[in-house]
Amino acid sequence: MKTIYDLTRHDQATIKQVHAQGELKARLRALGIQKGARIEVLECAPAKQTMQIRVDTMKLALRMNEAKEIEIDA
Amino acid sequence: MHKKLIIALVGQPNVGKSMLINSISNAKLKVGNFTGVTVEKASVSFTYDGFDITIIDLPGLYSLSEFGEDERVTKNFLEHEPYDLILNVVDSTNIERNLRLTVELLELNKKMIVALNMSDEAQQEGIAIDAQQMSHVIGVPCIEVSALTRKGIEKLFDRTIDVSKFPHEPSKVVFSQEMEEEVQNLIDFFQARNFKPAHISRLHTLTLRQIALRLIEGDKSCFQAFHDEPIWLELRERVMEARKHLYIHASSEDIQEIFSLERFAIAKGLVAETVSFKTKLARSLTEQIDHWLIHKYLGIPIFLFLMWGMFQLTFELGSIPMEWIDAAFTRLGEGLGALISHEGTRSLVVDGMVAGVGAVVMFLPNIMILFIGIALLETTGYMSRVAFMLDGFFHHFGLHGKSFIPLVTGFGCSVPAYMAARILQSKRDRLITLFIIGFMSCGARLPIYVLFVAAFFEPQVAGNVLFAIYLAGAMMGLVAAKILKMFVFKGGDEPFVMEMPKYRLPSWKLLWHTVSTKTILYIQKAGTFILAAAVLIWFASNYPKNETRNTTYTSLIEAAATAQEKMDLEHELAKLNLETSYLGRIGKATEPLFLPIGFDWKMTVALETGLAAKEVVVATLGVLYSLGNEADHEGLAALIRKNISLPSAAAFIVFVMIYLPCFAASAVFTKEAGGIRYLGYLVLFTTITAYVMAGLAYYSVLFFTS
Repeated sequence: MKTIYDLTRHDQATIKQVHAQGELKARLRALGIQKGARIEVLECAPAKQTMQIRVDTMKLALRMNEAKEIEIDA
Repeated sequence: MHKKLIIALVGQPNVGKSMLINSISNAKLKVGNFTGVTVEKASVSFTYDGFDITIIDLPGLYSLSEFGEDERVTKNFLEHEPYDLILNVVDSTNIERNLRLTVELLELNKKMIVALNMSDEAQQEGIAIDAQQMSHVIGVPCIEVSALTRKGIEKLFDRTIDVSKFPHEPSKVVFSQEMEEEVQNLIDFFQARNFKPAHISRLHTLTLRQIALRLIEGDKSCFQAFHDEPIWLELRERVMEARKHLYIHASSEDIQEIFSLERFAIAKGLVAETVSFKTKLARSLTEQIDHWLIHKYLGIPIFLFLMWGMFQLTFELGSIPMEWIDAAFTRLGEGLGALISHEGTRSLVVDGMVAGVGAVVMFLPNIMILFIGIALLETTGYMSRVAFMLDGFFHHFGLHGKSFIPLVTGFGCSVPAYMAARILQSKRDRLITLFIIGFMSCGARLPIYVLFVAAFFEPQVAGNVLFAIYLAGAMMGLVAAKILKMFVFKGGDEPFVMEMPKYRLPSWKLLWHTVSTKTILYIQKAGTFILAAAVLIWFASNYPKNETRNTTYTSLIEAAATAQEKMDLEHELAKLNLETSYLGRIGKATEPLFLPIGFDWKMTVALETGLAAKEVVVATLGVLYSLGNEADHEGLAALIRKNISLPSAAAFIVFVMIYLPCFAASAVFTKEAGGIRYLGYLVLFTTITAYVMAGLAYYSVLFFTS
């Protein structure tokens, strides 16, 4: 399974499935992270502890644990 | 008689709702460029065109189906409180995402108007919105406005009043064909059973279409309303049937996701029909700036450098008007003193009022620079970047990246900082953050630091020392957070998902408004609360009078042979009088507690009065050290240097850094933490830590200087 965590700066991908559950899933969905959304990785903090991604026109910061929950098309 | 109109202001976070209100009504709501600035609903009333309008500014939310604290406030209001219409504020530069919420709001079936805010910015970015077409498609008026330049505001209000006058028309938004079919099936069923929403009290405001949609989506309160009704038996099966069909169509069994995708599709369709984008630049300016400001390795050094620069400025730039203010107050004291013949009154005015208030007002320039710095951080969008960079680092200390926002607010004042902690979703993270906000020295403590630093250090290094004090406080806060996380608030981590707003140049108007409001508040506080405290302290330090001692000393002084002997006797009298005053007695009584960490009774009293407000510490020192030093008109800093040793001063600063914030802040803390017992913990936690750390500072400075 390939996730956002496997991407590096300037990589683009389409979200296949969000594995998170409950509140986190709702939160991500409210922010537009769900099946079919296009994302691009903008910046990574050292050791990829946090990543900045773009979902349509919005920039989002994610922590590593959350990035690993978001599966992308290989 | 004016007609009343209540407007609910709703929109996603950081779309400029509060700013829109401010530009409409000249209200002074807090505005910043990060999500979650409005944490509680605020309302503003004014009259327009014969209407008494009340606008309720609700906390921003991305979606009505979210579960956070802020979202609940907004959702509850929209569903249960009375209002006439919804004013949906939309960020034109993030139009698609914003329209998703608009679609959800339309489902509420209320009168509504859409403000397409930041239209000037959208134009610059090559985004053209056909507002007329959009109004036509969704069936509610959409008006292009700019809260910043006030463009379109008047039109927005004229249309709002129009909408309020005409009867409500249901919106024209439709879901996909599959969804609409299922909804129609349920409506048909209701009609066949002759079911009327009015029959059930909790549903009487809804239409059949709304009820059908809510049942399919799985709205709990809707289920509960039906649960005891005979119709439920059959209805349940129909709803299940409808869902099954939808599952097959969407090849997903998550109904929430299906609805979310539906709304996305509507928003997307709406954008396709009404918005045109010119070809975008390869990289937006925000991304170019981000490349450096949140650079993997340079990001944090740049941030620290900016902070260091701010404290340098605070000291360097602030010290110039400070000297003028100090001189002005000294002259004012002398001038007033010469006018008043009655000795007691003169002392009250000169040593009490002027010395106390002057000691506080003197630091106004420093405070203003600090507030400008924080306002810049808040309005430019840099705050969220720092939260992003620090999340990894904060994580080691058991803090959430978002904690940075309340913490940095704490450098200004703890009261809004405690409130800002609400942006943290989990109660545990919120409590840890609440407990350590006090470690971020608030603006009211700045005068104490500036005073002591000026007393003991050369002006060239003073800025650095000040920076070090703040940094040390922040570091101690982090360590305290770690300890709390390890021993008190144990448990897992909350997810970190946060929007990064676009960088915006600070609007001078906004900056001026923020800083001037805070400055006026500070002066008001100095003129009222601090003045009263200064008078109280003056009284407590001058009474009770010991007449027998006064007469004895007066005769002794008259009999003194040399001028030197005379002066010594005068000083001795002043000292004795101060020590036997009410304040002296309190100080003396509690002095033994603080003697081990190097505080004399004057410092002890200053700390005790500082519990009311930190500004009072300086005012107290001002009164205590200017009494008994009547002969020499020196600045307070010089008096401090003369009377307090370096180790004691270091311990004092450390104690001030950590111990309990003021009354007002403690009250807000109790409210935000959710119980008086937390205040008890806070008192214990801060006092013990302050005492231990101050002792440590005292003995290590003593060791290195002796």
